[in-house]
Amino acid sequence: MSTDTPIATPFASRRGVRAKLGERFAPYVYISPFFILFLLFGLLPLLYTIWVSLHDWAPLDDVHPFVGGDNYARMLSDPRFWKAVANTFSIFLLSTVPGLVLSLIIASVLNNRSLRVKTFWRMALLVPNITPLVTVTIVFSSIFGRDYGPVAWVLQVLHLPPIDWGATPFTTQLVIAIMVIWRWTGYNALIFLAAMQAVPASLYESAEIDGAGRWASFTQVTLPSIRPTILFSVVTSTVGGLQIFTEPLLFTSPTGGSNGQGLTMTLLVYGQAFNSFHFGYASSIAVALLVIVLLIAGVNFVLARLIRSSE
Amino acid sequence: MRASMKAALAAAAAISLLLAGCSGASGGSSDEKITLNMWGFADLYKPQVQQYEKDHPNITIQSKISDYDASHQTLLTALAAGKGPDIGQIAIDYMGEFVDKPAAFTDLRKFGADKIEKNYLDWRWAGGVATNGSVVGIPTDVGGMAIAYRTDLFQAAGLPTDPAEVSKLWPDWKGYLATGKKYVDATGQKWVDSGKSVFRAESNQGDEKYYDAKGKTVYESNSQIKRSFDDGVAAIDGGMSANVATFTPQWGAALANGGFATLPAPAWMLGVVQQQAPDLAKEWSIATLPGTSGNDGGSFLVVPKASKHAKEAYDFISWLEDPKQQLANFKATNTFPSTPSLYSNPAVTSLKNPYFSDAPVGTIYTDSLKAVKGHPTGPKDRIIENQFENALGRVDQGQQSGPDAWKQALGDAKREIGD
Repeated sequence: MSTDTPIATPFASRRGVRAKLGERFAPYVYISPFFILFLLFGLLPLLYTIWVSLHDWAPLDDVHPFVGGDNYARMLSDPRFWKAVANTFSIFLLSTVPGLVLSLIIASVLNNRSLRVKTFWRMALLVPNITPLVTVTIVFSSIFGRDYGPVAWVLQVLHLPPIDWGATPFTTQLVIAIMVIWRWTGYNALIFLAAMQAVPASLYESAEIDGAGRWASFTQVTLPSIRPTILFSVVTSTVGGLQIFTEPLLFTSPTGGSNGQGLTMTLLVYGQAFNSFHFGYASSIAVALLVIVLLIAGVNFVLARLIRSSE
Repeated sequence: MRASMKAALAAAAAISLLLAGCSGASGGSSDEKITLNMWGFADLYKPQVQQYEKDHPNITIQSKISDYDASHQTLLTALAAGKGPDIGQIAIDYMGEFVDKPAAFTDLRKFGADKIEKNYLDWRWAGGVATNGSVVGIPTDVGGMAIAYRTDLFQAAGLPTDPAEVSKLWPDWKGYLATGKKYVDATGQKWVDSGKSVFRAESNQGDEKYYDAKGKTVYESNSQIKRSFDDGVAAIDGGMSANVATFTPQWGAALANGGFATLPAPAWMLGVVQQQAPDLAKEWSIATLPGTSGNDGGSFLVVPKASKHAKEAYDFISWLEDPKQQLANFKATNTFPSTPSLYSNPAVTSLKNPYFSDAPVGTIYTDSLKAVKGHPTGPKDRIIENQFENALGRVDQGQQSGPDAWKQALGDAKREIGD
């Protein structure tokens, strides 16, 4: 303050109050755009969805009777809802666990200092992520066709019986998981790579001096150092993985297949809203999905706390 | 001082940009130029649109075409928000649930729709009328129904190839399945694309389908539905089904590679086959559907309540679907008219399709349409149909036996509509 130019002094008393007020409110003004957008496009629609879920809401009707918790009661006794929950979790586990492991491996391979054409590899990792989802699903559906397609050809060459990938729950969810892994592995690998590059070289040097091999330095130096990043990726993958929609919709059908093999919760919300015109019931399923995601995020948070406190 | 000046200038610039963006949005509904927005899933015949625009210089027609399911969902979302285009196209499968809510649409009787009712097939017109008598939509085309078959594969299996003789092989579905069995035994190849196709073609042949005339659901007791389902199961159990869902990439590949020898085909399917398998010209032909009568497809043109140009919209769609224009459309694109006065018109009856070995498609499809009795539609038609199609899908994939799939279909349907 004492380094202010002398010219400032005559104005200081006049500018004083306004400047102080401005300084107090300026930070809030700077961050307000995000919160305004979140309020308009995130929070208000969320509250409205909860409101709709308490009604019997057919979109073209004039009157929407209030039914309270009826939609939720119906949801809890609906076998399709529980099938959707089970499918969502199994697709999530099938895709997230191998996906994140693969991302770690790819990131550590690219972390090599003597790697050539680094930028090319990093850009190549992102290409699956920016390909339109509809294109990906249609192409993968053709790849995993029962009679025609590369996989069917390989099975033929190996004299194995043809597999109808869309028939059983496991094969359907496997193909969907493969699509998700293909899409997100590169993206997560880039995030891990960035974190790995920030690990100071001195740590690796001291590990080498202590006689650590490649594997030991990876598990004892790299992994613990990028632990916050791994946690971040787990949380974002969880939130995304529990809401998988386009892949099952286009690979199976709007009802998740002939017996709901690929029925995920978001697909059920979509089907109930736009196929069956039950906006209220669909909203209650959406709220249930929100609760599940919050629960899992909460579990993640507690685990992170425990891990951090144990260090 | 300078900082606040800059801020003021920035604010002024932002506001002027906003205003510039907004000024274009509230488009011109001046008395002189009217733009009719049409949302649909099948494009209009461009020369007809241009002719109408030439005759009515103050009217421009803009169409937005989306995928089949997506276009209906967009329309539903817009209608639920009290908005919508001036003209909407709703497929016959979806119409039941929209016509159940006539309040969302303009009653076209206001503009004289009663007068044109007699031009159309009665069962086709009835699908666009709500229970309170309001005319929600006017019919566009029809599908009719026939069987497309591969002449070369038939020949290899020792079956006749001439359409008249082939039609004699299957006057009813029993004959169709028996011929299928013969084909499978002779060649080991598949006969039909899926059990669902058989069900879909046969279930439309009765005078009732899922609802009766009073609006009560009858899918559980309707013998036509049970028979169609059993025939679909019989096709699957007899090894005749290729188990490919229509319009999927696998279906297209099977179509082009002889994956199935016959295909229940409405008139609009012929164009699809030609597109998917251009190399198979002259290897296909058309025969009569077992049971002759049949229809699959067609749509309605509706005018949502939110439209500000309802009269102009009605003038356009009633002109477009007038017998004269439907004939012109038929001559150009082979979409079948829904106006029975044209069924004796030589231009329609003499139509032969060169890709399909010059089969007399004109007479075959008009015969199938003339034999249709028509059945009452209801708001949950599509949902009930989904359950039966899923059930046959499960049987086709070997997940369930026919009787179990039937039982589950009934339970699923009850749960889906029973609230």
